[in-house]
Amino acid sequence: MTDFLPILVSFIIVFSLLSMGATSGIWSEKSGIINIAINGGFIFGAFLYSIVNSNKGFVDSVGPFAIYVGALLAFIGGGLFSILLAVPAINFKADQVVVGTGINMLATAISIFVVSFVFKEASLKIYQPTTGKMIIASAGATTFTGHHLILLLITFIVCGVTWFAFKKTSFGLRIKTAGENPKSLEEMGVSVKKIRYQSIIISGAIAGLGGMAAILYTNNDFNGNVLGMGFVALAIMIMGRRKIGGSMLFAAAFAVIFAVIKHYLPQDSGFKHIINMIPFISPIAVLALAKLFKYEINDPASLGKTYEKGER
Amino acid sequence: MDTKVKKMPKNFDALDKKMDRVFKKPFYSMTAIVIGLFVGVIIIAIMGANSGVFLASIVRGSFGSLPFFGTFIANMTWLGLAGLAFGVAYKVKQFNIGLVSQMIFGGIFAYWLGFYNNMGPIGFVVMIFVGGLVGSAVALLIGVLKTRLKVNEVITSIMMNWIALRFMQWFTDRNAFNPKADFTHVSGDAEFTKNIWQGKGGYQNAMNYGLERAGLGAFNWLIIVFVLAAIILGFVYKFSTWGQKTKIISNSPKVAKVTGINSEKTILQSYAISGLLAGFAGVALYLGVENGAFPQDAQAVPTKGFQGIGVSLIAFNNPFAVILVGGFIGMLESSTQAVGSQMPKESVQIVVALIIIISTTIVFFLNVDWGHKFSLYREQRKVKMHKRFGEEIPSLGNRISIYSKKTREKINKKIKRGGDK
Repeated sequence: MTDFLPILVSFIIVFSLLSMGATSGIWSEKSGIINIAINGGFIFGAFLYSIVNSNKGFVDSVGPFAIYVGALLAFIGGGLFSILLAVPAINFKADQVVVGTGINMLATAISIFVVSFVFKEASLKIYQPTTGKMIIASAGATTFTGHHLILLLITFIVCGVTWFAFKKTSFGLRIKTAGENPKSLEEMGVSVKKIRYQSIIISGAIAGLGGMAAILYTNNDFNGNVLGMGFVALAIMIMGRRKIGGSMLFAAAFAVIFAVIKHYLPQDSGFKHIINMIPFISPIAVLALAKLFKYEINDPASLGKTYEKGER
Repeated sequence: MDTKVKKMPKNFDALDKKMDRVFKKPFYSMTAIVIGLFVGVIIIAIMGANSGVFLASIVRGSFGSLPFFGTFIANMTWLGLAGLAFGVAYKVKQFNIGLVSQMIFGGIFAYWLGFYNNMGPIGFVVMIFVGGLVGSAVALLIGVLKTRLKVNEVITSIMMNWIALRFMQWFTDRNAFNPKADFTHVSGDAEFTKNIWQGKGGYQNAMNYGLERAGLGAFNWLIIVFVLAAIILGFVYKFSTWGQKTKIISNSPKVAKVTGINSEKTILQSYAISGLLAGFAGVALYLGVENGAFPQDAQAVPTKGFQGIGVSLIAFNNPFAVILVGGFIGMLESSTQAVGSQMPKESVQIVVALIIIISTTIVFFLNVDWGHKFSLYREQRKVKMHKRFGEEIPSLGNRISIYSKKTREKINKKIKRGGDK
């Protein structure tokens, strides 16, 4: 079991990335807004995170706290970025899938534009200080570092808070009602639009935080994409029936697939491209088999519909 | 009111509505494009780039010289075909983002066929059709999964895009299956294959001479396919039974069920056509523009296909309008060749993404009767003030002075009919 640790490290990175993405999707879709823009949120979060952490002077002066600063910036920035989805989707009757696609394009374009034009580089590399208490980990790291522990901790906190919010608080219940039957929520005297705004901003913030894991997945090197993990997270959220437990379970299963592919299957032959298709074929297979095995996946009743006050 | 109103022509209302229908959507499109361009230029300027250069290059990159114009035509072809492909699926409320995968698969199979077989002068026609059919097959796979197994088509098509990307990497990888390495061992006419490789077709004649002077190849004859397809689809959706069926399916699925429309069949047909057009678009992009150079180390799905979605959305899914909007986005796309290294390529993507987002919201903004909304707001405020000071709320007739002219007429009508007080 000499090479158990690298597999564990890959597992943790992919697991936290996917479960944070799925959690982000749950917040948004439970409130009735389709969120295709998880990938865009990842990219934007990773972009902000890597801006902070690729700055040599800043990382040297602050030390390991640069990680927290980056994560906080990604969290806030992701939340603000998601307003771009919220405004057209909630107020202006826009097609939510279309807006999401536009946002995904915009996140990639803006981040590459800034990296290549403002920073004049091909990609933003995370600066790793040689001295300091904490070694910043990468996906290829062979040692289990504090960074991974923090990442796992953040993931569990995010998932736990989400579970608590949806199961135990009235706020969660309101979000679920906004997705299922917004009219009854309005009749109770709660503003549907306000609830949807809140949940989408939380969703975007979590996606931004997921960018922190995404940067580890792309080997501490940001060049404007996260290898489509946002879309895999979206599929995982749907497979997990938009529930936190199911999503985490599927995220773990996919993390195992990713880790095994990375470490056990040959990476040097041309065959690797076919192997790398597996993570993208399997969601389709699972969703196709779900119907046959009577694993029902029901969308929230008013998913994708803009609610207007006073409509019947 | 005892002022004599001049009698209006009988059909004035109908005419008015028709004018509205004809001119509204082009106006929306133009507004979305202008606002998107404006915001995009501001963002680019904030980041410190010279946005004047960018704006000038939009015109210069397309019409500056004959080769530039050729590239513009080539770009317009694939963008327009991709826009039509997305639009056909969107007419039945199917969101085919998988058109990127259909483009990749279509392009690769057409390339593969042309590379290993010598088919003489009609080779490029066969290649185009093979590309289209492969794209159609991929789209049908998504459609069957959607209609039979109820798998969300957005998920399937996004995953399809990534599968296509991996397939492309496998295809171009030196270790596995590298056409470049086998270049000298190809059977048949080496000159032909070489020309196919360069996207020029296998022969010289007078007809191609004009195209080649503009830096175009055989595959850019697809511009004719694009324009014809747009016109045919426009008429099909307007006048045929099939077009009406798609309208009913997208607007009210329940009615479609009651009236006995086989919506599954229509959706699958739409997917097939969509995939066919996307396959053509792939051939036009990868063989006509990129000359058979598939990006070897691409880490993400090529964003070029997604711009086709933008074309369709900005055109409000009208096949005729796709021709014009395809031309406009083609201009944006070819602007990069005039800018050179002064401006990153992503500036075009920023603008297109902004235009997409704005075009979804513009309909809402322009449909609102702002004067009416404002007068409603003023009325509410007035009522509030009256309540606060304990005064009697005046009846609607007395409140009328606060309204705009248009609203006043409406209320007068209402009072005449003896409705609301």
